[in-house]
Amino acid sequence: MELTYDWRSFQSMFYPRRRSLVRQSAEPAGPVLVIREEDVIISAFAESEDLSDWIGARFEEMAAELSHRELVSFARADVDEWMVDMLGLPHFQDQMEFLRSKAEEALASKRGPNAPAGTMARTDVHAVSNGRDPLYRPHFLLSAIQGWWKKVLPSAYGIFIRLEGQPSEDLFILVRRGRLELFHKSDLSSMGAERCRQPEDVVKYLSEKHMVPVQGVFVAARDWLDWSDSPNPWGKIASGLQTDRVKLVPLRWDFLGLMTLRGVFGL
Amino acid sequence: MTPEICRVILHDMSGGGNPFPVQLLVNYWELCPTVGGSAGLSRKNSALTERLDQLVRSGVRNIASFVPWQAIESDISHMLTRFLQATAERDMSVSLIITPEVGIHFLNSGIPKDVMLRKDDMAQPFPGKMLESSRKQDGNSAGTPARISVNLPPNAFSLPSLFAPEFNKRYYSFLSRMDALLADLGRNQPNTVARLTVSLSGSFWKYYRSQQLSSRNAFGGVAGDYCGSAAIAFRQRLEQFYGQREFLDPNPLAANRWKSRHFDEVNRRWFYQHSEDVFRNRTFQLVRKKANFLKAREIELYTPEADPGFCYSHFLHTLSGGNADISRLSAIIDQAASRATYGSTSVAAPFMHWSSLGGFRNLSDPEKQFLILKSLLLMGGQGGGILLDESDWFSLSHAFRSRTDAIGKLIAAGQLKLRTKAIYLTPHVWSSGGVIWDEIFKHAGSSARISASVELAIRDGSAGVVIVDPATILTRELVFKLSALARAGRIVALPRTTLYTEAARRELEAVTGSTKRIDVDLGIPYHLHSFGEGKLVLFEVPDKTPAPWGAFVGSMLALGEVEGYCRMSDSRLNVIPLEKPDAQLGIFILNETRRHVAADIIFPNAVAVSDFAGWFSADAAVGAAETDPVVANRFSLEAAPCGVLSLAVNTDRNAKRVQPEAGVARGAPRLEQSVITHGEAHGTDV
Repeated sequence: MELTYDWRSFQSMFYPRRRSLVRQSAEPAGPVLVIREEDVIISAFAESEDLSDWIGARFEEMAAELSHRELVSFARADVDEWMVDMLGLPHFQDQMEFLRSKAEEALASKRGPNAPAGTMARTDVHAVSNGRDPLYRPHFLLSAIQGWWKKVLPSAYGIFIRLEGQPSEDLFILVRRGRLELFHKSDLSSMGAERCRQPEDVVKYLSEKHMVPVQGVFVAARDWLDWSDSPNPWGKIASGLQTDRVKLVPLRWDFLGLMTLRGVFGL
Repeated sequence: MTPEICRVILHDMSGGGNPFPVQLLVNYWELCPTVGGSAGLSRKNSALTERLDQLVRSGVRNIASFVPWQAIESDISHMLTRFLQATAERDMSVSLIITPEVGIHFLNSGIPKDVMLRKDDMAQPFPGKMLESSRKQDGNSAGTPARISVNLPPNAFSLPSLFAPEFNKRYYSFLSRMDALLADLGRNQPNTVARLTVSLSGSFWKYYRSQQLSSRNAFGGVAGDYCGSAAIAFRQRLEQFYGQREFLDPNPLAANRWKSRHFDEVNRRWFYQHSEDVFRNRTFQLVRKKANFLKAREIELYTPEADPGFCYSHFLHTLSGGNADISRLSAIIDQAASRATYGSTSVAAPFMHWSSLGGFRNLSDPEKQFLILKSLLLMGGQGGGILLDESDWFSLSHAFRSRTDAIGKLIAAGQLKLRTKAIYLTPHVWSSGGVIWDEIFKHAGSSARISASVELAIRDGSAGVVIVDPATILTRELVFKLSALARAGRIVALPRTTLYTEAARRELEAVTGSTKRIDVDLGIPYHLHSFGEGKLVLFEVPDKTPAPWGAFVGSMLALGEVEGYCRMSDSRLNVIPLEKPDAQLGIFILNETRRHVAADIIFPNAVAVSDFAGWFSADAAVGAAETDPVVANRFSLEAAPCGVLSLAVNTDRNAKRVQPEAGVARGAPRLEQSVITHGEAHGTDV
């Protein structure tokens, strides 16, 4: 059965697993995220730290104790509201993006007169004001298709990604007006084993099935993982395109152009 | 009917013990069973048959699968039937979980979309909370009602209310459909269902809790659904319940006292527990209407990643893109494992489901292994186990899987049990147990249970102490059962409250009237009535808070001779003791921090400690002989980050090779410890 939103395949492709333990350092320095009810902390999080002792404590105490750390706090009432509002969105990826955007907005407006009560960020490091998410780095491909590419690319299209390795991994995503409408591992069983291995046949089959242009991306799993971990992978992708380590099927010049633009000019 | 036949039937109904504490999840609807799978159909392999063959090659003979309600309603290609055919052909046992649950990799966790359309039928948290901002915008007091949502992929959604009439109508119709489908299969293809077990869980009830209160304390606050349908059902059930003769004594107006607003919280707790029990009973009956020949097992399936108490933590780590908070998950499973529920006919076997859809996936392998093992010890030791997606299981190291599998086999063979020593009888198992429970949990740790079922206390003979929550409505039947427990040698503590019916009060007076009374005051005054070895304690419930419950609980546990097997010199390490039938113990020392922790384990008497791995061998006696036991009452050890140390402890004082002075000094014994979660990497000599 083809799931409309095959989250397992999606996260396996876009959110690779972390396998090793991050040891707690003697002097943790990362940001501390807090949800508070008025002045009382009801949830606290920092990467690889146990902050459970702070739950129920006053936020002022934490701010005083962790004066050397970046503190980001949200009001519980706002978070509750965002969580209810996100339920109208179709899938988890959209819902998480919505939550992130709301959190970002709240942080960006922290100095303004309409700043949500209880929301604050004490930071010198992150550039909140330039509109970039200070806390989270989205996947390079998702970021691209949801960014200005949506103005250039067709209103509806599909991307078929095959990570070649042992075993190979497939994912088909359908994008409509810059939003993910469907993502799953396509059922190619009716094509036959031989045709399934032919990139052109797979792309043609999916294109006919979903009645949208489909761009196939065929790449080694190791390269994909490397790009996913990299803060700026587009240079590597552009060089991969030149050396045929990335195969685009069919070779669409507009798509190739967009990728190269990002790689070479960082646009 | 002979007693043997009776025994066989009961054994069959309870699912035949606990044969598979480690259950691997293979959701048939995630694969493609439409090609192949049956000898009568195409021989061509499908994704499903290939996956099943792989599992068989890996030695897996038992799998579990969720049956999403929506998948059954749209199963035009008979996927479930083909799946069962394919497993039967491979001699695999299958557990089908058919009750609605969260953490299923299906849109809305498998609940049909049309059921989710009615906003009024969605569950609401305590106390019918409204979103604050919507109040401000609307300028009225109504606003948008808050929701109880499950924030797990593939989509976060509002939990429907199990009180909504429309929902129930559809749900019972789905159960009847399942019953008919399985009955048909059993009639036409008996081999297909020969190794099938239908698992019935407690569904959404345990998630009807406030995110806010649960975030402060795991399972904090009053649980329950406060939507409109629930409010109507609440009033109706109260009328029915207090319409019973017992509550009309001494006169019919007496019932009004029980229904007054003063007792609202007491009644709410009773109501939610009662509604859950009714739901379980109906589910059990409907699924066994035609397919009563099938094995049915009542379980309590719990998904920590979906817990309301993890919701904010999940939001924060999602925002940061970081690892999930293992300490939060660990605290949640501690509390979840201490909650024991009773199904329709038997104790519900507790299972922990790590869906990998939420925070669990973002943990590192050592953290995952830690949580898996901890859940297995806590749940498996109580007759349940863990439920894991098969791909997650096989992504873990071979060494870890082998060890976990070996522990699972010991549990399945009844060789490792987590003994219940104290039970706190509460009116509602998913609500906060309050200060008395907190003290019991602090003193007795993993040996303490909180339950709403007196049947569970009756059946679990090892629980020496039963303390009753002051918010419990005490009827004559309940007092009779509890006093019978005291007569049978248990310590039973009853609160002196106004929540006794007249008949219950008379029953209690009759029971205690003929016994000698001792008055004690340890901050909480109580009367002690002795029945041979058993004791009935009637304790006062002071109005003032905080009351000195610690001393009271301590004295109750001392009366019941409830004491820990050992203690750790460093509170960062926790101990889970599992008992073997032959007076031996498996002691598991858990370090949930990300640092090495060196500490001492201290036993009240000298014990012989050896390598736990000795128990894994086919002949335990031979295995034990291969290791070199050290006898002392204090041992030094070092636990790796997220590590679990395991020790085989023989508490027999006549244990051979006694070295009385050897272990007393810190670090003196050289004790080889097996480290489960980190395999050989952290296996250290101390």
